[in-house]
Amino acid sequence: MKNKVYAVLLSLTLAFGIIGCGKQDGADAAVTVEGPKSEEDKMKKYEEPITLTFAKAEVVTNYPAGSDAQNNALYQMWEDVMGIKVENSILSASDAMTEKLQLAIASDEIPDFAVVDAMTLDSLIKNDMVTDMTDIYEAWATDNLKAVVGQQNNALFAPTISDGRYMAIPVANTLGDSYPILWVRSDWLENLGLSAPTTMDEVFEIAEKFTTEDPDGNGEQDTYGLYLDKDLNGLDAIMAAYEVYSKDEYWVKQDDGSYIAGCTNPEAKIPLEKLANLYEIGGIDHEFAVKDAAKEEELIAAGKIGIYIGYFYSPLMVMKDSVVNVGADWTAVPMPAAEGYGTYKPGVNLNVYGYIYAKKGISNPEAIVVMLNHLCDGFAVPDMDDGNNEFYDKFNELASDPEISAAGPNNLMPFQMQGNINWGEKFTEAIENGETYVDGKNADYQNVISTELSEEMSWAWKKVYLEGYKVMDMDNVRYSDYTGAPTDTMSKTMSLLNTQKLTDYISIIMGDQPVDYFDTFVETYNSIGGTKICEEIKAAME
Amino acid sequence: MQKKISLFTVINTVFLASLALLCLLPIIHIVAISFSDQAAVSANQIGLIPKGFTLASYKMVAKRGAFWTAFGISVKRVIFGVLINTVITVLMAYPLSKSEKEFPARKLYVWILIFVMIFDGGLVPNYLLVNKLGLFDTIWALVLPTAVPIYNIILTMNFMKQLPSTIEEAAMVDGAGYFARFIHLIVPLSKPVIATITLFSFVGHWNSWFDGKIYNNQTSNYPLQTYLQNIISSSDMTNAAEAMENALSNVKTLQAAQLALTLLPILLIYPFLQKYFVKGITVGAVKG
Amino acid sequence: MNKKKTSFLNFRKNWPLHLMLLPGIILVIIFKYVPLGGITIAFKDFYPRKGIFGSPWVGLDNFEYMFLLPDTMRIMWNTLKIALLKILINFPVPILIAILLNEIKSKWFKKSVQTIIYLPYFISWVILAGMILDIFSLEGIINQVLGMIGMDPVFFMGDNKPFLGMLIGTDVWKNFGYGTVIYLAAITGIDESLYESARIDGAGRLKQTLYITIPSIAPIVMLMMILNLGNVLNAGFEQIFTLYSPRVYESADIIDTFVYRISLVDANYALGTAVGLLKSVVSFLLIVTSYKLANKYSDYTIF
Repeated sequence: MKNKVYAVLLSLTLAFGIIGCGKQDGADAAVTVEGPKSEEDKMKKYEEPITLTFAKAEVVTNYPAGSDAQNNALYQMWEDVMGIKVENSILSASDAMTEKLQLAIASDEIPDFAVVDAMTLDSLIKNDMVTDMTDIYEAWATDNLKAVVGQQNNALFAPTISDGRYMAIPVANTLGDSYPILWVRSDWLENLGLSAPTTMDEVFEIAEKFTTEDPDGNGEQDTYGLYLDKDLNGLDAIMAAYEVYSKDEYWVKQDDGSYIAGCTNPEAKIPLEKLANLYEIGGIDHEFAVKDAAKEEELIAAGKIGIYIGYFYSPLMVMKDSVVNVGADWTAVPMPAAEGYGTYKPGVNLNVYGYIYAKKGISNPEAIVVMLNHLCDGFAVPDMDDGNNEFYDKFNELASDPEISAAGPNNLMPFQMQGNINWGEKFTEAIENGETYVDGKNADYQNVISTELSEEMSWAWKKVYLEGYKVMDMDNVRYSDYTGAPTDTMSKTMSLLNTQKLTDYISIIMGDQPVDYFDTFVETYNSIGGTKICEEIKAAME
Repeated sequence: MQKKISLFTVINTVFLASLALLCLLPIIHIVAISFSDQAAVSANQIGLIPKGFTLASYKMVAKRGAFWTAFGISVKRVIFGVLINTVITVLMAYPLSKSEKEFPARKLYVWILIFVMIFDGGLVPNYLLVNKLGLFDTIWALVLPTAVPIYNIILTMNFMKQLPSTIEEAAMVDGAGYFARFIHLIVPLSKPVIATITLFSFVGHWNSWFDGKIYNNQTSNYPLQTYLQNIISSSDMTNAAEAMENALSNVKTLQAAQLALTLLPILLIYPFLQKYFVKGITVGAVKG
Repeated sequence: MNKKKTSFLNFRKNWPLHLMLLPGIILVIIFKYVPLGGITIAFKDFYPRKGIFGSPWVGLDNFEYMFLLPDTMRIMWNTLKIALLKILINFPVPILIAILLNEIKSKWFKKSVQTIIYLPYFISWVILAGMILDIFSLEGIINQVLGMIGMDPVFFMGDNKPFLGMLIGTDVWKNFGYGTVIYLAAITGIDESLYESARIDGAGRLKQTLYITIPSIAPIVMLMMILNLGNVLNAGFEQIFTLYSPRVYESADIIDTFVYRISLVDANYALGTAVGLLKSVVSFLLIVTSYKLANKYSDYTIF
């Protein structure tokens, strides 16, 4: 019997080999990449189409008839224009993508390229799975691309650097997407005879009045001054008015050269206390801590919330419903600083969609740069159409198809890219000049000037481009003082730390804990990894 | 005196009836939402009766290709999964129901099963295995790792154990081998427990979502529950177009209609099998 | 073992039995035992590129780190607390209802109630979560009813206290029908003559229940309790995963949800595996103990 058991154990050990083995060293022969033969070559079409596998984050649910994430006009267009066939070897909802990619890394079966976040990129680099892009980028990127992804002295590259080399290329997004805007119910301001706030202190005063003075005039105290949800969306923008940078993974360099986590800055007690007071008098939904954005926004739609810290595009998302439901009107106000603090600078993340990597060992890593070159000229530079941009022309042609337009042509592409173009001014100018076409964002421009849209959609598009965009000051932003790859402890504990911050902040706002509990929070935060991370950052920056 | 209905009986009947109702209310509520007008739903006006009766959500679901693809995959999964589960369960339960005297190796087999009922390699090794076997994005990734339902085997084994041994002994005298006895005697006698484990396995396959999420790289291969879990949990919005998309798909009525449609097969199959499983489950679980 | 020289495997006589077991055993070996080797990740600094074999050993580092995390004690305590509460409350409810149901004379009514209360057992947590989150929200139907009778709204899904109640409550709601069916069958099986002689002695309904019904089903009750012991570390991953939010981690984060997040969100597979392994070992000991107890006290043999 014993022998039989050993035999079983032995065969198990053998079978275990199926999952136990990694790649042998040297399995990937080094690939030499030639430089472009000419400037045109940088925007080339591969004569012999190449196929690259990709991890696509799916956001579209209403594909045009007969299309899906793989087979659609935009993917076809990439193939037609660039000779690159993108094959979605992973197709997943965007919020499950990190998990999918982490599993793909664990099994060493990553796609040829993908746009990933810094954390995933770090796993990829540590596991030696990606191609060094430094020289390929240098040789193949067009000047336009270098201007866009290299903005602010290559600041966007920080997370991709390993031993001084670029292991991926940032896919630039517009700063506009993360620049906070204070949206205030202008009809309520009017009802109560108030004017738009110019300091953060006034914002709190108005929020209080919106709560207690019955701004909707229905005789009931059923309104909330300020929007807040379980992820505390909008809180970071308030904190920034007190020069507190409480975003996740945001590190602030101190005068003595050490670092702290922005959210542990004791100045945070001031806004937290104000929020706790506001919560106590009913100025914040008492259930905000269990409602995600979609749920909490129902209150905005129902016309119950007066101040919403959102983005330039917020009117299109949620505010338009309040126009339908209660005839609300909103105004965009530049985020103000609190009294006694300097110019308002929002803390922003690096404005990227992610970082695009080329899997180690693929034969055409330069194709990644070629794709970026095309995209950049199509979407990210102010004067896009130099009359010789096939990609951009075809895109506009396809985007005019109503079904494609409804699904979102950008979302149908494998990935997208944007620059910091202030469209608000461009659109205003165009309207003043009576133009019927705006280069680069024509589809949106048509919506702004359209007379056929429903009233609320037309309202929303105008708010977005003629108000929202214009109160942004994209030159005045503040990045984290450390944006490099996540440190060891960061990778291990960041999400625990973020949760700690979230739950403790919420406890204070909801009055479960007094404001001075903040000190306990800082202690906990630092002891479970905060201090260690700051030390690692200091070491990494020296 | 004999016709007098006692106070206790009245209270008891009312209590039990409300208890049964309590089990049905959430389902009725969801169904009511699915048939209601969207405005009434947003305003939280729906209790147990639809308001502004409309089939709009069902019409929208009907047009939703992804829902039906997922539905189809779930159906396929249930067919293969239940078939494999049931055959394996019955095949394994019979030898294990034998006494140690008759089948000395029984103990080894039982331990092999019990051990993995508790110890599990964990997410990553399971993922690696399914991946290396090339099962990703196939129905087999959903069917094979759960092909041996150990709990059901124990249930069936216990049921078979309590069948009177005289029946088999008589057949043995007539010269019937294990296979003949198994097919002609044991399987027919085990009908209640087979119905029970069929139902359990049906429900298990129809309801599980986690493996669908992990073992598929393409959303188009998601079974229904994974598809639903995706809808219910996803509310991350990063840009305007995405937000508008979500606003459309997160409509409560639409979600309710999809929940109701997902429940339907369970509600349909349940009454047919339930007359068996009271017997199957009680004998299997209780009698040693 | 038998003194007579029958070999352990006894292929000559038992081959059909072995053959019947073969397909299942092969599947178990491939899909359960092979991944089991992955447990070694718990003792390694796992680098996927190097594979499970190639990654360096780190001894008990992962376990040490686990006990440094402030969350660890919390999740252990939560797991025990939730699982024990579920077992304790799940245990008397079905007995009581089975006894009450048994008092009903109408066969039709009895059967219908039984069928309906068993139904929630078959609904997935995904679907239930969709319903529960809706019904118990602040504007949900329950809070509307509370409002009508003049009570303050309750923050069911977001305050730690009511959330714990929600977990227990919804679990009982989903599962009590299952227990009821078992106990009811046991009660139905009681020898009718016992009741008859009790009636002759003048015992009322209550007395009959106390002195006949309950003692008769006591062994089964005992058995179910003992068997539940093995579940002390299974507080219900699917239920909690589909219902919780960071706000209630304090009361509801359990070992299984923690392992999921640490492995797939933080990509710390080794730590996740270590926590999972610890749980498996403790569970294994508990289950073996409970089955030994079951064997001793109610002659129930699973092995």
